[in-house]
Amino acid sequence: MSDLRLIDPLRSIEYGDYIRHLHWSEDGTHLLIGETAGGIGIVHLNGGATLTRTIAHATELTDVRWLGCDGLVISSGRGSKKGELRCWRIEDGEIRLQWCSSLSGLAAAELLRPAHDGSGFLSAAGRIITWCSLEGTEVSRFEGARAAICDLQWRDIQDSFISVSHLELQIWKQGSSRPARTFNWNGSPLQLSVSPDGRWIASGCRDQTLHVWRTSSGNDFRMSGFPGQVRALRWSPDGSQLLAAGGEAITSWDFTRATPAGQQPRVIGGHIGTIVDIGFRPASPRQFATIGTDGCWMLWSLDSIALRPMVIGTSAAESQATCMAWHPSGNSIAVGFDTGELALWELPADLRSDFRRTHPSDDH
Amino acid sequence: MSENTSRIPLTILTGFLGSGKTTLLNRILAEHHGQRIAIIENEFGEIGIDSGLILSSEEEIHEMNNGCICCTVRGDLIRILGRLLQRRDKFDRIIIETTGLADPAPVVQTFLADDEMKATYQVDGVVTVVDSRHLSLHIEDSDECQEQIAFADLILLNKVDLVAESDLPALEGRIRAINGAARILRTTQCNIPIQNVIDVGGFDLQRALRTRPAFLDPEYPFEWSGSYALPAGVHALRLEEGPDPALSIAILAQTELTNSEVLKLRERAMILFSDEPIAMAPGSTLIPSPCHFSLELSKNGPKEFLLEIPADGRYTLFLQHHPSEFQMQLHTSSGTTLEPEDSHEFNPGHEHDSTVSSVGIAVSGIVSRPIFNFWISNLVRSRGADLFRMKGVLNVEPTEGGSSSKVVFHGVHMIVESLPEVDWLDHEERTNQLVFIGRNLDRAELNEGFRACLTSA
Repeated sequence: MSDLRLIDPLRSIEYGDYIRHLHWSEDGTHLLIGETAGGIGIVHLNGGATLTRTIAHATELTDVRWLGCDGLVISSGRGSKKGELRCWRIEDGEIRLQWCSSLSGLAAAELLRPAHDGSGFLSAAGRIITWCSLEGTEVSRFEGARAAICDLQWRDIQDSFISVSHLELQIWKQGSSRPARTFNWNGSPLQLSVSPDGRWIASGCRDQTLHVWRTSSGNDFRMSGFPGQVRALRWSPDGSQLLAAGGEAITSWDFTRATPAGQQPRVIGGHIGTIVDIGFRPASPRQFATIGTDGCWMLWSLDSIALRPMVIGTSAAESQATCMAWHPSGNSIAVGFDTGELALWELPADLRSDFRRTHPSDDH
Repeated sequence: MSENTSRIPLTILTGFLGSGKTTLLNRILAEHHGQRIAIIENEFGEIGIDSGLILSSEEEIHEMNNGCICCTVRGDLIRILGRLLQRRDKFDRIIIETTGLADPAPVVQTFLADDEMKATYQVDGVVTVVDSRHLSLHIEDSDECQEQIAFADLILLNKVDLVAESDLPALEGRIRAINGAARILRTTQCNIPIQNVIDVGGFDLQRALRTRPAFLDPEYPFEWSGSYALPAGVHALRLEEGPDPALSIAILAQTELTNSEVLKLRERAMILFSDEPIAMAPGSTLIPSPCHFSLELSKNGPKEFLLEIPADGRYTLFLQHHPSEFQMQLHTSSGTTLEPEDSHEFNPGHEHDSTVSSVGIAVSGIVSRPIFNFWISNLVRSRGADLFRMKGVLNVEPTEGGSSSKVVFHGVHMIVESLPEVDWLDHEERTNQLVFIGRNLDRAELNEGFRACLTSA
């Protein structure tokens, strides 16, 4: 186990508005920023760090993602009234509008999920999921959800994805407009996380519970006892652990056995504010970061999780961390704050690894 | 770490299609009131709103997984309000506009049942815009119309210029039969000071009482009381023919002028009216006493009774009907007319046509917390589906000695929330005041149930 180290950010950027989304480009040269008020920004790492901002949507931004690896960005939000999708090209830190479209008869999309192969993207607006081309054309529509879709995730199987609403968990295949499977329930989901092998699907809920389904049968487990809404949720890359947080502590569920039912999870404290996200370090599947409303990010190892974090970084201002993104190298991390501060930390030299891509970024 | 300590005020705006909601919203946005307002409107709103931070939302109702069978919340609002939290420095308050057919319950329950919403937003009030011309068409047949009135803290009786002024009292009476606690304001094109709309203070019972002091009265068996300063002696009580051949009356000496004394007198009179009356023919002598008389008024022409007052003092007469219906007059032996120094009109029982109504309870005494909790829990469990809104101020027993405390509570259907108890202010009257608004309410049952929660009178 490494000694606990407090490290200062390599760079702090005063972005100026609540930062809701952070995503690195696959080559790690650009950091994409989304703000709920409608703006998007790009930090271009070109020796220094150049920030460019633009108003993407006049009223509200609901989601923003990189679209493939050619410098395209897709954003969804509301203009003066209607919902709209917009595509942007990022070149040398500049943001240029490529196209704008609205999906016929649909409200504003709240979720965007680009395909891993960059061939298009899914968008969810209310109860409707749409598969769109890179040009923003609606290719197919998926209907069958009885309630608004709260989260949407691709499975590792490229043509399959999963949605969750208050009334059902649904598994879809791209070739069919109807769900392949529907598991009915009644819950208040915040997000989805699918285990790497696809056997389990987990959802953190507003009612302070964690819900897990076995994909093959639809059998589900309800894990209660969280002190707050379960906002942070992540599977370890090897699928052995499901990490969840509904308060200041990380709860780790062991999924190496046939079923997690009846087991006591490990509960690990460290933050003094609610944990809002968990992200595994690229290329280091046993290490993960957490961010919290205490303004800290912490690096942990699954091998030493019972003890203490390895590295702690703290906001310069008194801010609450809102989102984070690991650099694809796994050697640095970007954290956004509610006050508009954006900070980049670099791991200590002995923890760094060579920048090599192993699998798509997991910076959901 | 930054802390968001103050809750964001939020107004819920309801009303049928064409009632004037959008006109009101545009007025709110156009007026220079110094507040930045975010508006959440229906995805398919009536017409466009001119400017401002407008977010649209498609109604998405779902059940809360909390074991409460009738607790539904608006998932769309939770999501959109969650996002608004990320830009809370850009607005001061929020208005949520609902469709004419929307059920207000899930909207209000969203801010009671969801911890994050409850911690972040403060429902200032429910404002319902009513079209005066079409109220009669909807009020009896439309559950949605009744529920929107039932949930309101403020009702804008709009388009009054299109209705004869003489018809307005009857319209207001129909609204009050459903919701006796809401304030009613008459408007034309929703033209009222915006502060009246965005600063409703939804759960301010005191204001409801100031607006209509009689509302919280129970359904007393008498319609009127008058408090007289009477000299010792024998006075004449004269009455003409009236709607009934007899009139019940109780005469009680009043020792103090405090509100609690007045309430005690009313309760005593109510008990006396439940006893068999003593029949009194014209010419009989009435004396202040713990009984109630039935004055025989069947004969034609004026009837006179004698009222014997043993000592100078204040006396209250409780009458079954309003004295004007019998042209009642009280004279001294020298012929001087005596007028009441204070009078009060009471809610006559069983006046409501609609199945949706409101019941007010005002009673002095100290509430036992565990008994009240048991009672209200049972009440909402058994009758929660019919209880649209509840709100009240309780005078609860002290936890460890000391004096009683004030607790404000409110609820929707099966969810009841109590605010932390606070000390009574010196000038406040320590009485319990409760309002229940709902369908098929049993006034006697609610009164009896609450009174059983009292540890002392």
